[in-house]
Amino acid sequence: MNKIKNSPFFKLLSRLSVLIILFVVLALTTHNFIKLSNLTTILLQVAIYAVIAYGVTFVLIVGATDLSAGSVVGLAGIVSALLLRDYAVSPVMAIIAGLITGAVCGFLNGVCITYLKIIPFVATLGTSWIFRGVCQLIGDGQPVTIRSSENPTAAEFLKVLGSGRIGGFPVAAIVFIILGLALSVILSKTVLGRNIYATGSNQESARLSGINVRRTTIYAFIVCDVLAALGGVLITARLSSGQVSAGTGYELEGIAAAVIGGVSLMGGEGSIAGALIGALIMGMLRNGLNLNGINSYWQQIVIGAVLIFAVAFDLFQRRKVGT
Amino acid sequence: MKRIFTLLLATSLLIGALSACGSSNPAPETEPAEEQSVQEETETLDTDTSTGKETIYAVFKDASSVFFAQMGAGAKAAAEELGYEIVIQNPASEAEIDKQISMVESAIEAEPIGMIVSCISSDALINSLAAVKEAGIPLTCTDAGDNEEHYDALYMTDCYQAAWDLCEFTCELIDYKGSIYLLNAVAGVQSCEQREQGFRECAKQYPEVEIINEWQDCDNDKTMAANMTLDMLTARDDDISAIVGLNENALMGVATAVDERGLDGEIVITGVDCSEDVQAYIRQGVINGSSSQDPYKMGYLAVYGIQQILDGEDLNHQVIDTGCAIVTKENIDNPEIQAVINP
Repeated sequence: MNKIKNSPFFKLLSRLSVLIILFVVLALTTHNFIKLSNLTTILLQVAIYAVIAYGVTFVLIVGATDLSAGSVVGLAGIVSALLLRDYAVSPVMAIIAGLITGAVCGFLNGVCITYLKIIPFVATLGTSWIFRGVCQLIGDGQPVTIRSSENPTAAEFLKVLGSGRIGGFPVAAIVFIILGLALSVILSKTVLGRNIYATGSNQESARLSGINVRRTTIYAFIVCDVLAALGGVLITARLSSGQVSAGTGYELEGIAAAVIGGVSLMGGEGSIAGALIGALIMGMLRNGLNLNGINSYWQQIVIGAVLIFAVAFDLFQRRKVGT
Repeated sequence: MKRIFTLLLATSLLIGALSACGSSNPAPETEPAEEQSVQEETETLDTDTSTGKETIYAVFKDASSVFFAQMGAGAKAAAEELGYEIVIQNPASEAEIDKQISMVESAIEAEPIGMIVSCISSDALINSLAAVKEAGIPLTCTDAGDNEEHYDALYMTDCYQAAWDLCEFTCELIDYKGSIYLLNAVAGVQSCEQREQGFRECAKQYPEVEIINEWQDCDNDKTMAANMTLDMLTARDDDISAIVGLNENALMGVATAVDERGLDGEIVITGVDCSEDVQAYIRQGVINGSSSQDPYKMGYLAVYGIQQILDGEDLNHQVIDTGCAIVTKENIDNPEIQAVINP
C-alpha cells in the first residue's frame, strides 16, 4: 500500500482529485463558472502559464531552478515584436526568432551552471537581470506595438494565435495541449527524458552510469527557455504588442504551478501532466476568485495558501510512508 | 585545460552579451525612442565621470514606462536649452522603493547643481528628500512629491481631480446610469490610490451609477488585466455599462479583453494614459476616451524650476498642476492633443 502511495501515479491522481474537487466546488457555488464559454476562457487564460510551467518542470526534474524564465518571456516577446515592427519579417519567422532567442538564453543558463559551476539559483538570478536588461534596452523601455505598423496581416495572424478561437476553442489552448502531449512523450519515452530524471535523482550515480550530466542539464535549460520564449510570443500575439515588462514574476508562477502539480524541487520527480494540472488548479482558482469579485489582496493570500498546502501535503505523505 | 575552457566560455558569454547590446542600437527606429536610447547611454557613462558641476540629476519611477520616458525627454530638452548635463535614472519598476531611495542618496553624493525626483512613495522618500535639502541642492519634484514638502516646487497632475474628470466623462457616456468595473494597476502607489478615490467619490454623485467591484489591481500586467476583465464579463453575463482601466497596463488589458469578447462598441471603455497602443484602440473606437497627463511638460518645467531657484527665486513649495486632457476619437488629431500624446 505504501509503495502505491509513493508512486508518481498516485501523486498525480491525488492532484487530479484536487482539481476535480475544486471544479465541483466552483461549479456549485459560482454563477456562470460551468458555462462552456467560461471553461474555454480558462484554457485561454491558462495557456501562457501552462507553457511556462512545462518548461520549468524540465529544469526542476533535472534538479535545478530557473529564475530567468520570466525575463526570457519578456525578451523573446520583444525580439519577435521588434522584428515585426521594424523589419517586417513574416510572423512565422518572428516566432521562430523568438524561440531561438529562448534557446540561446537556455544554453547560456546551462553553461553558467554546468561549466562555471554556479548554483542554479544564483546563476539564473544573474541571467534574469541580464535578459531583462537586454529586453528593456532593445525595447527602449517602451511597448513595441505591431498594431499600427505596415504589417497589419502579421498582427492579424498573431492575434489568431494569441486569442483566436476555432469553434469556440482557443487556438492557444490547442497549442499547449498538443505541446503537453509531445513533451510528456519526450520526458517519459526518450533517452533524453530518462537522462533528465536520472540526473535529477542523483547526479553522481547518473554520471557513473555513463550519462553526460552537463549536456543533459543544458538540454533541460534549452527546453525550458524555448518554452518560456513561446510564452512570451503568445503574450505579444495576444496583445499585438511586445511588453518590456511582460513575464515579470512568471518564473515563480511556473514554479508554483509545477510544485502544486507534484513536481519536486529536489529533482528527479514530477511530470508534464502534473505541471498542467498545477497550472489548471491555479487558473481555475483565479477565475473562480474573479467571478466572485474577490479583491486582489485576498486573491494573493488564497493562492499563497494553496501553494503551502500542496507542498505540506506532499511532505506529510512522504513522512507517513517513511515511518 | 578545464580552467582554460571555463575562461573561454566566460569570455564568449561576455562577448555574446555585448554583441546583443550592440545589435540593439539600430533596432528602435521610432521617433521618441531614438532620443531616449542616447539618453540612457549617457546616463550610465556619466554616473562615474561627471564632476557634478553642471549636472542635474533626475530620479524617476519606472524604467519600463512610456510615461517616464516622455518625462525624461522633456527634462532633457529643457536641460539642453539651458546648457546643462542631465543624468536620468529609473528603478526597474514602481515596486522598487528601496532602489529609488538609494538612487537619490547616491545622486546627492555626486553634488549636482539641482535634482528632480518623482517619489514612488510620498512617505518613504521623506528622509531622502530632506537629505537633498540639507545638502543645499535645489529640488523639484515631478508627478509626486514627499508628504513633508521638502521640494521647492512640484509639477504634477492632480490625480484625484483627473480621475474625477474621467468619471464625469464616463458617466456622461452611459447616461448617468449603469454598472462600472474599475480596474486599478498596483497597490501601494499614491497616484493609483488617488485615482481610485477620485473616481469613486465622483461616482457617488450619481445614484444610478454603481461601481461593481472592490479594489482590484492587475499587478501592472496586461495579460492579468485582460484575464480579470474576461472573468468580470463572465460573472456579469457581459452586462456591464463601462469598464475603466486606471493606467496604461490596466486599460490595454481591459481593451484587449473586450475586443477578444467581440463586445467593442457595446461597452464604454475609458482610462488613463495614452500610449501608441491606446491611441490605436481609440482610433478603432474600442476605447472611448483616455485621460492623458503631460509628462513631457512636467520634466521640462522641472528643469526650468531648478533654473529659477539657481537665479535666486523662492518657489515656496508650490504645486503646479500640469493639467490633463481626455483624448477621444474626435479630438485625437487636434494639434494641442498631439503635442501632449506624441511630443
